[in-house]
Amino acid sequence: MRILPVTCLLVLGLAAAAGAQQARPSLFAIDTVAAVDEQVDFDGNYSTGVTLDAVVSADFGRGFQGIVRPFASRGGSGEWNRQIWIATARYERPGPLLGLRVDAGLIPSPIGLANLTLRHHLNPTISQPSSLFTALPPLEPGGGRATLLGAVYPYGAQATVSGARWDARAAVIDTSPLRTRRVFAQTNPPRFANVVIGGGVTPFIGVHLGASVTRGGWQRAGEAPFVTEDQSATIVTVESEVSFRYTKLAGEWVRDAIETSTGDRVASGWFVQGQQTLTPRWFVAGRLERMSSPAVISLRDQTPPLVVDQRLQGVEETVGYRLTPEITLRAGHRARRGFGQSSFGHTVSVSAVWWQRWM
Amino acid sequence: MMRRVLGVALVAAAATAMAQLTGLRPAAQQPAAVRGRVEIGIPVAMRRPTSAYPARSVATPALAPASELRHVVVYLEQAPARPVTPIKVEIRQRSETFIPRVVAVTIGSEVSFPNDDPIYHNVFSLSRPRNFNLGRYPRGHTRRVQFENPGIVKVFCDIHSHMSATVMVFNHPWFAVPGEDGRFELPAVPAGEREITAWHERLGDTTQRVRVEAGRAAEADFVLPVPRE
Repeated sequence: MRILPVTCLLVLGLAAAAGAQQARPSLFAIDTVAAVDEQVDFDGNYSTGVTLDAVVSADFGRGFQGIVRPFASRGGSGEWNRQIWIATARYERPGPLLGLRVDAGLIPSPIGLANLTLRHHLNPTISQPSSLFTALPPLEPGGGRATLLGAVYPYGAQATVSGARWDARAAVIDTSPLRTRRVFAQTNPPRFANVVIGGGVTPFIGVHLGASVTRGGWQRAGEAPFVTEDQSATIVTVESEVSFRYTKLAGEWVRDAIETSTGDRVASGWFVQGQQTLTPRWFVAGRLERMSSPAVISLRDQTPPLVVDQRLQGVEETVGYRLTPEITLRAGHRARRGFGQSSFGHTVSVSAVWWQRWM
Repeated sequence: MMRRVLGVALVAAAATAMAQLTGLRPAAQQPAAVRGRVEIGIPVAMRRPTSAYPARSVATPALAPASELRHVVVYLEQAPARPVTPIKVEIRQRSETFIPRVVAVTIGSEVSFPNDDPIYHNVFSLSRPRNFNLGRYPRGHTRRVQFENPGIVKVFCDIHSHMSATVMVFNHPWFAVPGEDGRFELPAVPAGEREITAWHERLGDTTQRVRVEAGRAAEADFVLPVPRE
């Protein structure tokens, strides 16, 4: 009678030993990015930026995982910004014919291409596209400022389905892509349900064409002196990525149709960026960008506002050196003429980025 | 007396020359095999992709994990360089994984990197013995790399950061990758006190001293990593 338990233990022991000979997917996956950049403009003004960024993923099994991305950055002003950018539950069911992914929680923006490279080691240049962070000229007298397509991390849910040569997604988010909300902020713009529909095709490997439409509120009644009812915006994006051999090109075009108390306004912009690998360690990258937006200037209470079309132009060139697979050094020059400015401002930057996969 | 010494020296020199010509060696210097078995003592974690910003399309299905024993290389430490025959091996890119993840080759060998995935991969290495960047190429295409210097070459994909592989390049013939049962054999190891190392990409390396005696196969079993006392 004692043989049975002994046999069972032996079998279990052998099974455990055999199991150890095969790798199992890691329970946790952690990577971090630390970046330092030093900028000096042609007037001799220095600024140092520091970014610390981590992505932690826990595998719950059966296709479920949790992802958290804490983030801290110190801008040129010396002020630290500590945020949680992503805290999402994800379900993923891969498939050769039809794959499904659902994200819910604090998710990255489901809109636009530039929003997919918002980590220093993913961005080919030192700076990010202006459309993400540069405020448009005032669109609403006395109202809040908007961005063309902000780097927003809204609460919401996104479902993505894809096949071999196509992808489609739908999302509902609580934040207008024109106005950034932060988890740890004293004040935030109001919440609005925004609906995102997007999709893309891959006609052949290395080429992706995509588009998205977002519709939802952006300004609450009473937020500005003349805003008497909630106002909405429609954002259309078209994006494309092309890569072949040692070259990668990407471009995005954005058009915002924005309701304001003084009428509908349209702001638009685009960027094209490229990266060329020269040797295993050296690469060059660059970005060209344009934005145009009306500036709505209130003269007096009863007078129709003055509307002036303003433009932003920018170009950035970067040369990079991969010290190791994890550490990249970059040096670059950026010329930018901001909204309402008559001349270009020049900035020279150096940057060190350390990306490390820990588990 | 002088003639006798000269005569002995001549005979010894002639014997050595004959031995080298005929491949015969004195019995004490004759090589012998080192055999053994490798066992992995703890579960090994396989890296999952981490992606704060998931790609537009959903990932392809993951492969069933291969035996980790195929990711072990057993080799003779401080081995003298010997003429070796170059070989040709493949590291395929399938389901965002390098298969196999570890290969061991001789100098001059060629490793090809076929892409089986319906997406681009960009294989590169910045390792000192051989750095290269193969650029992006689609399914059905392959690129080849020749390895002329001994050492460890870590290989990555520039697009998928969770992909990695290792090419171990040797300038001698005393290395082996264990079979599915963990068994390995290093044939014709020079006699003497030798150090044999079992290396695993995650578990590091474990070295054992073995005494190789002429005509007798030496045994060297490994449990990776070294079990704690």
